[in-house]
Order: sequence, then C-alpha cells, then structure tokens
Amino acid sequence: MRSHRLLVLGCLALAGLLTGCQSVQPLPDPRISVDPALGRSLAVTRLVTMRNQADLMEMQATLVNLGYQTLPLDVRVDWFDLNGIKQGSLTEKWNTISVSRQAEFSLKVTAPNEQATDFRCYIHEAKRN
Amino acid sequence: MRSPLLSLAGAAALALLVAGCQSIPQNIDTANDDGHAVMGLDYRDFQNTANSLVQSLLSSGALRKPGGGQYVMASSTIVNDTMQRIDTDQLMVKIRESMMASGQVVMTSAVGVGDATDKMVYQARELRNSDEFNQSTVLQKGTLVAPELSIAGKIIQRDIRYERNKTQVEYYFQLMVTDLTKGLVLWQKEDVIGKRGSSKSVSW
Repeated sequence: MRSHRLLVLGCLALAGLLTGCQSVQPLPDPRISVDPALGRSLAVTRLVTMRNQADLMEMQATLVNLGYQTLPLDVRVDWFDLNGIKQGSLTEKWNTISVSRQAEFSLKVTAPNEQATDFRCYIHEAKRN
Repeated sequence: MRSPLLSLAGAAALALLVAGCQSIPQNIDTANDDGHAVMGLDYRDFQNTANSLVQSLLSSGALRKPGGGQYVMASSTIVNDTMQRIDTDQLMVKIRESMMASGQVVMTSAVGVGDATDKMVYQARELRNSDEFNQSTVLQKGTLVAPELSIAGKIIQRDIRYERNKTQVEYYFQLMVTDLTKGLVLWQKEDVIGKRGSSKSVSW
C-alpha cells in the first residue's frame, strides 16, 4: 500500500517537473528577425504561409511570451516581390502588439498585393509608455 | 564703475540661460517614433487603425471580384462623431491607397461624398458646348464608369471618468464596404483605440 502511494507521488512529482521544464524551441527562420534582447522572453514557435481566397499571401507566426509579464512588442513586416523589390504596405511601419504572460499570440499579416511573395518580419520590445 | 559691469555681465548670463533653455524643434522620425502617447488622435493612431482595417479587408477576400477584374469603388461619408476636428481623409487616404495597391479595387472620383470627388470630371464635360474647343477632343457622353462598391464609416468618441483625476477616452473606428447593386454589406469592422490620462489633458 505504502509503495503504491510512493509510486503515485513519484509520478506526480515527475509530471510537475516536466511541466516546469517545458521548453519552447525558437524557430530558426531567416524571414523572422527577433531582437536578441528578447532572447529569454519571446520564442517564435511556428510559421505558416499560405495564399488566401483573394490570392494574397498570408503569414502567421506564433509568438510565445515566456516571461511572467505582459510583453509589448513592435512588429514590422516588409513584403517583397519575386525580384526582391519591396512592396509598399502599411505593415512596413512599426505596429504595437502585446502578448500576455506565459501565452501565445498569433501574428497574422496579409500581403499588400498578389506580387508580394516573400517577407521579412522584425520584432523588438516596444517602449512602455 | 564696478556695479554697471556686474549688472551687464549678469544680464548677458541671463540672456544665455534663457537662450539655452529654449527647446529646439525636432523632426519626428515617423518610421521609428517612440514618443509618448497623446490623449487626442495622432498620426500613429491613424496609421495603426488603417493597418488593422486594411489587413482585415484584404484577408477577408471581400474585394476579390468573381470572374476576375477589379471592382470600382466610391467613397461615401465618414462621419466624425468625436470632439476633435478630424479630416476623415487622414484615415481614408491610407485605406484607399492600400486598397488600390492591392490591385483588386479602382476608386472613382466621379461619384462620392466630400473631397473624394474631382470636380474636373464634370467641368471637363461642360466644354461640349464651347466653340473655343476642338469638339473631337472633348469628352464623349457615356464614358464614365459607375461604382459597384461603396466604402463608408464613422469615428466615435466616448469620454469616461476613470478615476478622480483620470479620464478614459475611447475612439471607435467603424468601416463597411457595401455592394451597391444588391445593397448588401460585404465587409465590416470596428477597431477601438483606448487612452487613459489626466483629465487636464484635453482630447479635443
């Protein structure tokens, strides 16, 4: 009976340990550039690209706030055509988003036109004011 | 003799101090502006709102014309229901620009409300009866293209007392695209900007 209890307690402790050590691996994608200063606070875990029903490219990146405070971020996305020429877009200006502590945020951005086939996404911590 | 010299030196020092304290105007780097927020609406608010609305509109697919081609869109009224004197074109120009850049819409300046129209479209047609103009170069009848879609909206402001000396100001940006043939709304979105600050910092 005692060993059974010990086994249950051991399993619970192991589960707690695993949950506590859960690590989110950063996504190595050259299209997404995260300010190194955010290294321990933010991880980009998933990047999906697709053509939407209007035939415009869409990117969706999953950002994870690893910290215990809401993280305000400035995000900028530059779009390029097949020749690498930048396409004018409102997303080329910094836009502020915030990610709740220990939570995910899906950043979804749509290309400005059909010619835009590639992008660069820049993320850094926003000034708190 | 000494005292006039001293007073002169004092006056010069004071003049230098005053000159040094005058703030020199600085250009805003609109691409990387990390200045603090203001209670009223500034260009960053228009930029962020336009971006949010355009992103929603483009991803909705509402502007994709069945069978291909481009929609012809007219600008309708953008009601300014705030306490500020806002030229609603500050917002609409950005949105129109992005819609046209998407290649899915052509805006018409022949029909519309306010500054969205170009009076020259009709003035150029008044030349039909003038002997001063070569009539073969004058615009023919039946050449204007009628709009198929319309874009209209409203900006609303709500001031709420937050704490004793603090006010919360909420700005609601509402925009909708209507199919003029059927009168049906193809897309609609509301974006909210909220600000909290001292009640002394007025928002109009």
